[in-house]
Amino acid sequence: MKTKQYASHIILVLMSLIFLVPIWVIFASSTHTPETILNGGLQFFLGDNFLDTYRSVLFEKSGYTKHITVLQMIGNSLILALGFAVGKVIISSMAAYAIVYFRFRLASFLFWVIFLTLLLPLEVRIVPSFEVLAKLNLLNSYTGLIVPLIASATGTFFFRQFYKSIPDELLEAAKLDGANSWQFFIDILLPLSKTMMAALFIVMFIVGWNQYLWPIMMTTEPEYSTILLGIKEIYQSNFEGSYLPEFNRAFAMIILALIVPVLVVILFQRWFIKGLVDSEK
Amino acid sequence: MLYLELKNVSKNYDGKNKIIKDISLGIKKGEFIVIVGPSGCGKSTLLRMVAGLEDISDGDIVIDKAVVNNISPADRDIAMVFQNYALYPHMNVLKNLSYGLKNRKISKDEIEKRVVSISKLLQIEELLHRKPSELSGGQKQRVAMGRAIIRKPKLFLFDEPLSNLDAKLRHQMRIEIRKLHDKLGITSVYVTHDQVEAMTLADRIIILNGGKIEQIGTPKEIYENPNSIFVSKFMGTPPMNIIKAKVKNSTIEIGDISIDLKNSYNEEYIHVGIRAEDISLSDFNNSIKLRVDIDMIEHLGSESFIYSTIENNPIIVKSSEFIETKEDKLDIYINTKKLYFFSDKEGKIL
Ligand SMILES: Nc1ncnc2c1ncn2[C@@H]1O[C@H](COP(=O)(O)OP(=O)(O)OP(=O)(O)O)[C@@H](O)[C@H]1O
Ligand SMILES: [Mg+2]
Repeated sequence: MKTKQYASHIILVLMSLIFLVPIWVIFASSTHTPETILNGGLQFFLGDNFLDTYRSVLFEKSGYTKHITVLQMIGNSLILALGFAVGKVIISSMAAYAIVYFRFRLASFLFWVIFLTLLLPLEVRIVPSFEVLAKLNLLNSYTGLIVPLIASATGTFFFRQFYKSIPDELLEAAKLDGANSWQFFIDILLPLSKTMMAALFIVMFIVGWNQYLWPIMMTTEPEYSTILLGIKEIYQSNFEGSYLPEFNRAFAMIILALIVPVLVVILFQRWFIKGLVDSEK
Repeated sequence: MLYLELKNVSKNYDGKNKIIKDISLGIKKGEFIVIVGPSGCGKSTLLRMVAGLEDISDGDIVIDKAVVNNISPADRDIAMVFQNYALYPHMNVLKNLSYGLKNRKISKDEIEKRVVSISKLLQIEELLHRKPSELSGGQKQRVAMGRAIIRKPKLFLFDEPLSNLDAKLRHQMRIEIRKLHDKLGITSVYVTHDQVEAMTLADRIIILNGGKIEQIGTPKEIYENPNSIFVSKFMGTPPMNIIKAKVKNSTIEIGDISIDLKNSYNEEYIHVGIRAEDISLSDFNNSIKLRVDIDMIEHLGSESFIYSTIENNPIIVKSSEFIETKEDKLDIYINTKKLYFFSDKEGKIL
């Protein structure tokens, strides 16, 4: 028994190390001066340049055009990820509500149409999507960045399955209690799907945060740059530019780009697990 | 004065098979009506049509003088208790009780007053801040009742509300439901397939069979004057014994005895009904003796059931004594005054 426990702990520790060591190396290196990194390669121990690097990364304008600080980039990423995740949760919960609870013709046909869009991810339809938005004059705007992404077949599917598992009597009881369809949705369905929403939100937030291809096509003006684009740009200038490559700054941006999704996971995980433990159904 | 009236009501789900076939009935204000019938006979469908949860294919439903066919469930002012309670899982008891009132824009003070009085009435004061998942089956049942009563509806509908409870609790809740009805006097329609519930709760019983009304009457009428074999077998534990017998020249022959028929009858077979309590193991006035084969004896403590057959017709005899016998034949005495005769083809009383 004891040995089994030790064994499983050792495996856990090893796995954590595999994930954590690279991040640590990047963090440690980011606290050194560019010269140290250039001469001595990646650093395993902390340096003394932490404050300098992070302050300048966060608050000084950077990039080719020196138009935007990393803090603003994080802000952009946050807007994109939040809009993406919240939009997906709202749209898919409402779409599923219509499909499950309203008996209109073509409901199941429409559901399968939505489902089939799983086969057409953004990358496949990126050129037409871009054209549509260009014609709508939505390039270089948050609307253009977010709205085309928020339709979600996966989300709709999960909500549909969840709604179907809710007993019909609950709807009937609510009807007799005088709730209209809107009240039933807000008062009964949404609170019941809290857990699902939290789960979907976490996943979608991270997907949104990590969007790369769409922002790169959509935004030509630097003030819409997300943190991921910023990282790409700083690497590019490191290799192509004529200055001293600033790997410390690039590493610092990577660490900063990690912090927000990690916080979101930690925050919502509490909800998520609570929902799983005191199941209310 | 009729309070709830069904006029030639029919229902088909698929446009072909009628589930409810042209039912007409009237219920007086304050009556407690129980609908019984076998599974799938359309009890729930009928109730749900009254509630407005199911469309009416044909006919009219009238509540308090108004035709309600096209009125939404909420506006019919009806409350319903469901078999699985259907409490809102994420709301505590207090919110479950007050949700319907809030939707009807009733003032906060009034809601609070009603919650207090209802929770006292149903003895759920202690539970007001618990979630449904933290309640026992009986407590959930009470809350479900409370949610229905608190609205002071015109009509109370119950769809097998006790069938998820164990036998003891069911008995207790049954008594409470009846007491509650006597206190509040709300017109109620109660669906069950448990004939004991029907007998004990109802002012009048409606027996439904295959989407049609088989008989309507007080429990006493239904028990004493069943108008078909179906009803006679449905009500009473154990069900009425039915013996299929040959008729010759207005005389019935069962085993080695014969009984004369008073009225003329011209089918070849007839069904003779006799209740277990009208059979005795000893001789008495107006009795005739039958010799039956014993299959099995069941002892329930206060009484024994003897399962026997005569000419392939099962007969159950009830005795208040502890019966023990090694023999496989037994003499029973049946009360000739308490015999029922049903026609062979239609199964109707003669
Ligand atoms: N939504 C529906 N669509 C089609 N047929 C239905 C529907 N609901 C019920 N039925 C059919 O109608 C018949 C009556 O059903 P109902 O639920 O009223 O029976 P019940 O008397 O309540 O039975 P139980 O005692 O088992 O609850 C059944 O044959 C059932 O298959
Ligand atoms: Mg039913």
